[in-house]
Amino acid sequence: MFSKIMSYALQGLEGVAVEIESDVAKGLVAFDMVGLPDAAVKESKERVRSAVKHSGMFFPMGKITVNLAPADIKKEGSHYDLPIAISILKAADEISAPTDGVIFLGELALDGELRPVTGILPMLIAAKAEGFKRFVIPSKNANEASYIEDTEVYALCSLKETVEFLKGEKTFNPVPHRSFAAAQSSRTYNYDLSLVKGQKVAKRALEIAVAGGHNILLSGPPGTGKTLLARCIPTIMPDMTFEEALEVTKIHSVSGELSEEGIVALRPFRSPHHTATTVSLCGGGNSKLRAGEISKAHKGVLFLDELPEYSRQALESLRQPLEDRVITITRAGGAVTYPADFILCASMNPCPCGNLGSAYKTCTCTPSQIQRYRSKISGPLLDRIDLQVEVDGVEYDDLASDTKEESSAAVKQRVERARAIQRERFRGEGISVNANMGERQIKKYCKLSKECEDILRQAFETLHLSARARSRIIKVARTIADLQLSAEILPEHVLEAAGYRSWEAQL
Amino acid sequence: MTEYSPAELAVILFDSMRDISAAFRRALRANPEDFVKQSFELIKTHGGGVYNKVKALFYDGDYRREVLGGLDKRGVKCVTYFSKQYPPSLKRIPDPPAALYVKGDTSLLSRRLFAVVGSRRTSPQAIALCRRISESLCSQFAVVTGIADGADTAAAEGALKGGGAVCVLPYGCDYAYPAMNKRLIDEIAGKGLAVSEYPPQTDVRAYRFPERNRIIAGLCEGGLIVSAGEKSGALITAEKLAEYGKKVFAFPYTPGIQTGAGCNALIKRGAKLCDSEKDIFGEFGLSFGGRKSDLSEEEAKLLKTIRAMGEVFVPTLADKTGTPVYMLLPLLSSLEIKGFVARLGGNRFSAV
Repeated sequence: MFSKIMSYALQGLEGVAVEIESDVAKGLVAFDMVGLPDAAVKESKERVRSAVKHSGMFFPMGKITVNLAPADIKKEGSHYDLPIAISILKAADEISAPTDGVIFLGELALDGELRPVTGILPMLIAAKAEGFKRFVIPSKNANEASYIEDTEVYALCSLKETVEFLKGEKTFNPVPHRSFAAAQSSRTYNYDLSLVKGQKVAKRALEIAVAGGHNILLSGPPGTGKTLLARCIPTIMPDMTFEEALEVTKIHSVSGELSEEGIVALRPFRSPHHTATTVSLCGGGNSKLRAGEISKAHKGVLFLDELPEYSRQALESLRQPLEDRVITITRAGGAVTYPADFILCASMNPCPCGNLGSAYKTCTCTPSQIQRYRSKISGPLLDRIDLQVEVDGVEYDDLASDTKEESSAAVKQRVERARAIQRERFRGEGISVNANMGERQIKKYCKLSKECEDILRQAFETLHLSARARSRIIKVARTIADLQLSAEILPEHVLEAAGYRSWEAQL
Repeated sequence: MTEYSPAELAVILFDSMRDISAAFRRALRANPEDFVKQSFELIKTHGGGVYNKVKALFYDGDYRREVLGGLDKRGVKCVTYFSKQYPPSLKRIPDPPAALYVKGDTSLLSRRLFAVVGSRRTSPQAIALCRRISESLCSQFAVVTGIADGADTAAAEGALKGGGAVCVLPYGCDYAYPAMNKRLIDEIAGKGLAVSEYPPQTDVRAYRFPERNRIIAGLCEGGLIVSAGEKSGALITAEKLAEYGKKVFAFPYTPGIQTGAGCNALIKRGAKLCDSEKDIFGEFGLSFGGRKSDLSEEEAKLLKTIRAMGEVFVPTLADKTGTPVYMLLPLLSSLEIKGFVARLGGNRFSAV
């Protein structure tokens, strides 16, 4: 007998329909699997055999051939267990109920229980786009699937339940649809700007960075709160839309990092350690091309603490994704594109001894030592970091702690207003924030008055800015003007922008 | 090819043969009129091999063309002991250089010269003040400095802006140390004057720094020590300035600041305390026009507050003045650009 069951494969974030064909023929007992299965898929033979047995059904005797079509795509992961089992049972006439139009996804335990798998969301979305409406998935993946509308998803506990469901012996209710808004409002960030005492300059810079989508570098002595500030960035970013959340959830689902919740409702904050390799940052791997930290930070914040400690190679690999907002990972086995649209927040000490600018300790570095330390960060990478800010060299206790600090919500409001202005301005340009402006757009949207030009020229002469700093300052000035609801870039905007260049500050 | 007189040529040739330089310098100091003959006499003491080699090279036309061609190729001119441009003040020091290899505007050597030097570790306030004073000094003097990081670099930058930068290098012009100052040296050679006692191929050696300091001291009518630790090289310059009877000025420092201990020690020993260009101009009986100030009302008010508070953090300033940070930052930037405040790092500012 012959049977055909539908399942899905993932290539990066793209789902591809996979047909699982089984044939049970008379002959010597054998179980062959063809169609480019990887190790995890090949091992499913044993799981399927045991699961069927423990679910109270007969595993057919004879020559069993399972084919995973299309045969030229590599099949990875453990979610083929369930469709393979169903397919074999159907070929062996254990089940005769129709299975057309149903997608099966799930890993089997030896006792027939269904175990959760990764990548449910992107597979569901892809299958839905191709017209599939009914799905059988493990019950532990139910939350993840519940945000997709217009589908009938059955989250079942075991192979036995699946068979009962197919035969109609028991009725199961599809997973109820959940609204994203509810999920979003139920989650809150653990941090808030109001927790950060003082640091007014840095807070202002964060607001500008988020408003214009600028990357930001915080520099300051150790223990002055750079990390805390960075953690507050997601809290002042506009709420994610459902589409954005789905995109992010897809990546986290494929990486197997999705929480109970089933959807990433809050903007991600990723802070890889500075021993991170290029592959762990950008993504890659031998057989399965996994998403890297930059993709997991999609629509959120990538925080690189102690920037100069990262390997040069790892840092340089960030240049292209910072520009293109996606990363294409190419290996012998194929190429995969992951989105990588994040705000880069980096932090570093101002000098090797760390005390430059500290109110308590004296810096013992010479200018050339500082220069050497800073030159670990290449110019092209620096070009992509628009704001370079110093944090106050004071510990919090020293600052008047009775003052009421502004909350993240208040800042977020201003950020959203500025973002709206930018969306309006860049309609049809293919970008949505000031940071993504190219030279042409800077010319078009950032006209400087003569007064501003004079200030800029004077700033370059006196402060010894590099030519590279120019477009950075103009872009930031544009964002400051947007925050101040000013259509024109005014002198004070340029002056303030010129202040966020601690990197080039004289040594 | 630049034309040199026979005496100048002899100095250049002897100077190009580094292994005999001590002998020929002695001859030059003892008897400038007949130093060629005297030199050969002294070189004889080195032994026949050296003597014959030197003599052969000295009269070899190819070698002569190679040395002079090398200078021309690099755009270096040689001002020797016998040249008209040789600064008379240098002839008065005990160990005058036989030749100065110069690149840039030679006429600066005939201006009044004043030294501004300091240590590599210099606080941002001192850097900012040093830059400003160097610029102002250029109305009367050309500013002579070394080319180390920190104070020297600031002095050179200020002087470049004022249009009178002279820097004395402790190595030949083929080198740059630290390498990151190459750009600055090139700029000085273009708009000011880079001077070295050493032929272009001379590399960087620690002992040449004090040798160089004596030239800075010898050239100038006086010198300002911007910053100096207890064992700073800037103190050698100060020592030499005093030895040659020149005026020494030093910035005052709060006790306990390491980078200022040397300056305070100098003041204790009679150096003149200097905290603005007026002190220097006054000492030389020159008038100083004062600083141009085109501050807006708000900027002037803020500057007054900063002056009253000393070193101040931006948030403290915001609390004190009741101005939100986003309004303070542009004002501070503007004051910094105009040179009235210095950024000390960690969002601290101080008036200059």
